Amino acid sequence: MSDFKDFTVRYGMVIDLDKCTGCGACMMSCQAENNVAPQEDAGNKLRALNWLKVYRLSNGKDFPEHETVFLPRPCMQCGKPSCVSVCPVVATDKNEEGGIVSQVTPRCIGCRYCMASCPYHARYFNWFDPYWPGDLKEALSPDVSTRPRGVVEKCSFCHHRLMKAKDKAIANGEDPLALPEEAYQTACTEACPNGAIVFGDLNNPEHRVYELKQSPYAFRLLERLGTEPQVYYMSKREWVRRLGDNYLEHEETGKPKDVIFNKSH
Amino acid sequence: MEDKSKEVKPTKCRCGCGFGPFLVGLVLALVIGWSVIPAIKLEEKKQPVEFNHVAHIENAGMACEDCHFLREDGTYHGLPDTAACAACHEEAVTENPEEHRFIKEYVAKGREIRDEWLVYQKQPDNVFFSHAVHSMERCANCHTEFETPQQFCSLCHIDVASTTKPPVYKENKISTYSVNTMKMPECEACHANPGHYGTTNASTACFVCHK
Amino acid sequence: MQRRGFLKFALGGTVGLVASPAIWTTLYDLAYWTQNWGWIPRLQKGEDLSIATVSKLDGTPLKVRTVDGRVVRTNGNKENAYSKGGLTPLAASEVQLLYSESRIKRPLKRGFDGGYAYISWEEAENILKEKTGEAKGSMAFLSADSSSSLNDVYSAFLAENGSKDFFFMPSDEQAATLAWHALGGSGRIGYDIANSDCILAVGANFLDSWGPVAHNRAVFNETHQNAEDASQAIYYAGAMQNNTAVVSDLWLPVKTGTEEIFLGAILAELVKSAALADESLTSLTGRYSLEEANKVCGTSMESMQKLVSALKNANRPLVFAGTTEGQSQGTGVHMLAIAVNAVLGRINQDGGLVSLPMDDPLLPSAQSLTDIFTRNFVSFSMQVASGAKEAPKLLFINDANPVYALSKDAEVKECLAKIDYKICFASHFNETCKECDLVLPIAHGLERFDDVYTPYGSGNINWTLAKPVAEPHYQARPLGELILALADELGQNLGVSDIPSLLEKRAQALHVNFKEYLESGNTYQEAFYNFTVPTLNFMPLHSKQAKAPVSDIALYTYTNAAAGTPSTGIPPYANRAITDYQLQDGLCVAQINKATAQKLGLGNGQKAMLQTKNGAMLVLVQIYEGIMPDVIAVMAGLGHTEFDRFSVGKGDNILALTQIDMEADSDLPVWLNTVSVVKG
Repeated sequence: MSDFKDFTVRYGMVIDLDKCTGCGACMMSCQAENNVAPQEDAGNKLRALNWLKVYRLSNGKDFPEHETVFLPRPCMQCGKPSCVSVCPVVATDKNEEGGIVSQVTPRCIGCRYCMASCPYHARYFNWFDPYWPGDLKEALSPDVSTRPRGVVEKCSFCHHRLMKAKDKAIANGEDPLALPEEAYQTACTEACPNGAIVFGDLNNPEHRVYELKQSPYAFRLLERLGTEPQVYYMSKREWVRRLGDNYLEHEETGKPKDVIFNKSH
Repeated sequence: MEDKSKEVKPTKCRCGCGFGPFLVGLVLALVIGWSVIPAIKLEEKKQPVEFNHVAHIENAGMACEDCHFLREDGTYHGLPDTAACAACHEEAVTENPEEHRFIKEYVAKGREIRDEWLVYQKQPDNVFFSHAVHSMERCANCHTEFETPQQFCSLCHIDVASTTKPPVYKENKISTYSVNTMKMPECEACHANPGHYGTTNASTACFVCHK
Repeated sequence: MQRRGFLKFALGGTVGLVASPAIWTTLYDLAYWTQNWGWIPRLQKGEDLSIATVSKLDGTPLKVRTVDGRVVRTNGNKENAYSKGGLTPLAASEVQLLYSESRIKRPLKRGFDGGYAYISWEEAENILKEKTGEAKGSMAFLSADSSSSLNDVYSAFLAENGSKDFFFMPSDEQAATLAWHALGGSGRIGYDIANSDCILAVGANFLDSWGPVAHNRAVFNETHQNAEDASQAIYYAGAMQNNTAVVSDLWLPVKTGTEEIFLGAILAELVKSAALADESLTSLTGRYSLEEANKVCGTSMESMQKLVSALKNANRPLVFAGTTEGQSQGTGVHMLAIAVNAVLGRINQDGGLVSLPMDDPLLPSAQSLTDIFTRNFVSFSMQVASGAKEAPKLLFINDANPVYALSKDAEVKECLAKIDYKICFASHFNETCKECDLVLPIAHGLERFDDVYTPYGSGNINWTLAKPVAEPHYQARPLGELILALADELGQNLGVSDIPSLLEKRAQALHVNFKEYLESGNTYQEAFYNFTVPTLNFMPLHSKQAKAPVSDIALYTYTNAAAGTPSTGIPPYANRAITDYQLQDGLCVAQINKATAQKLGLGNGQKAMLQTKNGAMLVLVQIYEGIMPDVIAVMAGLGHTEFDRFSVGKGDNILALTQIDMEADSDLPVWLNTVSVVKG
């Protein structure tokens, strides 16, 4: 696994699962924003491609004790991205201020090592050439390049929006490394009518995520694996937090503080 | 050659030609490699309108920024549209037949010149280039050698300001891009230059240029 | 040349080629070439604009991004105080629907062989004129969207041509309005969700598809701050843990079809301790009890008591009922919901059930909503089909899809067969178009002037304007203008010259600046002022007949807002939002819990047959414990036979299978939960 990659600016999310109704508005916006081609048979989960996917979680109990929670899963933009170290052609890397794991699809050879190494299933192989039937290609955004078949793609935290925000800041004589929270938001964050997704610089105390990630309800997926994701989740329900990692029955969830807060968060 | 070979002395090469064939092959290949193949690969295209930069700068007194400028939102306004041209060219202002044709075919018909203009430095879809970042003001923090924007912009662009008609657009038939489109090593000339580390945000991070 | 000479020549050539840039630059060019496959679309740049409008699908205020005139994305409108910038999945799909393959490109006329032929608009207009002239006094109009001011144009046009038969598709709005009026209320019935601190939603999936969703969810966002205690409690009663239930404080499992008994029990419990309950209410309590509700609805005493005490202790509680989009449970359940609000003293209060003014139509001969709601399409259709009512000569259908959305019991196809000439106005070719004689392409919601005026579920009078962000694609035309032109041709004056001036009339009626709202896309909101408590008479509740006992296994149909509406089909991108617990291997998934599965002898992944008297469908069984016992849940919105590749060939249409019955006093359709399940 890679070393921890630290940056002055680390963009991240805190997704409040208690506020997510699982409607799918984030998934819709993500596809439209990032020129993800529609799939006729997205029901084929082996071939479907989702930059962002909403999962349905269950507390595993029988009716009437059963509870359901929906969990949107973007790319975790790990601090120690396991995908990066396995890529034989450096098509994926984490080396830019902001801490977003880049995926340069023209460079990708489609070996799918990164998919195997990603513990979050955040990476998808393009089995088909992107196809927008009829006039659907009219709706392509000029911001994100289309990808051919045979490459791996994933969520980029709408990186083009970061580039635009930085350009705007530079044009106005502001510091591109100290963007205000509202200057750069991902498409899914903007779309969510419930405000379940909060996005910002995890290192910037003026951004809401700075406080939220320290909430006692906050957790990350497979936290003890040490991938240091930049996506946090939060839920007041203990069972949801337990599902975030492979806790044994006797283990307490809570924050393993030495793991989480020893970095410059 | 065959006559000679009959008289060869045992110590000499049987074919008796020395470096002859080698040189012929070499020269032929060099000619093909340096001029024939590049010429086959290239397709020369003409711009839709024979735009005269000199006339606009010197006769009309326009500045570069009148057409090429950075917008407030950080995006770059590279090419003027037909409407902008029509601000002056609603009616012909000179005797130039090219101007008359432009007015007849574009202004009168509302046809968009910007859609047809060939961009010499057009980058592929997966490349992100920001004019806001690469501005003369920012580079001038260290690089004081540029006296005019014309000098500075010509680092990457063809210097068109002193042309009376657009340079020929040469398109590579295989890559479908202009020969003037910068390739990655040319970007890296600055981006991978250690002298830039610490003083600029330039880096070789993938997402700095790719999208 | 001999061999050696040739080898020297070749060596020289190789060295020469290697020393020239030909190979290396060609390799480089090839690298570019592989990144630019010709069959993968290139990106097109251009003028980037953001235009404010509103989604005509669910009333979500929008900022639409256009690039070089192409419509690229719908974003939420952050400056809009009503939605606060949120975007619903349906509104997020608008652009893909605009460019969808299922858009009708040109006017279509059905030939004798049942096939369609393209005709010119000129010919279509002539047919319109001719047919309208012939059918004077005998025509009907069906519309799907009750929130549009353009309905005034359509109903005025109908009136000018001597008919009053203007219908909306069946809805909660109609049932609730009739219930409200039957109890003595006046105007529109509204729910002030924004100001309530405790909400009981019975069946109404109000955080996903019921009411002004974008607004409801903006309120939810505001009242539920991250990691803090919520300032609004939400109780959801329904058969399944749906989108609203998962974020509720308490989910009360209530078997489908027993909502009246559930609400009645709460009413009875509240009346016991209420000081001001009137006679017509107190005498009702004998009919309901918690014990009976627990037995019939499947609720538990503990959760019922928790709910009742929460309602009692809340400062501003609010109760409302609803059903799956496009269905209804008759007036009974709404009367009971109104009664519960009355006992709680929540009528015409901040955060309560409010009575909003029902304004006069904008055009002199147009009909008011009150009038329109006295007629319902289902009974019209059934009566025409059976011959009890004379079939009109001409039927207009505006973007509604009754052939798909209504149960076979409604006999829509049979009804259409009896009508001489059917004209379908639609953006997308749907199942109903297929039954019509003339199909005319109309402008999509992003291509026309329109508005969203106080949609059902609002807590105040509100108004958002829609304006075209692009010219209508293909040969589509805005329907409003088309009808005005047709009236003009027929020498009729509807009282307005074009649609923008009709909308301006609305602005004048509301005393607001039309241009300002058109430009900004803001939602005008009128503060609620009518705090006088109306005198309600609950006697009509006494005469309500008890519903037929619910079947042993109850069918619960639910919608997924992402999966579109009957008029849109499944939007292209929605296929990814339809999960494998909704659709698998081309089969609808039926979710049941373990106990039910055991009872039916079914297991996870097995196939089963759902049967009603309208037919049968094969489903895949999946065990899900977030559903109550004896209920089988199937998603509606699948099984389309028209639209495009993204809609067709996906599951079956449960809506057609569902049985309906007519409520005796209101003559409204009631969707039944009857179903039998056998192993497939």
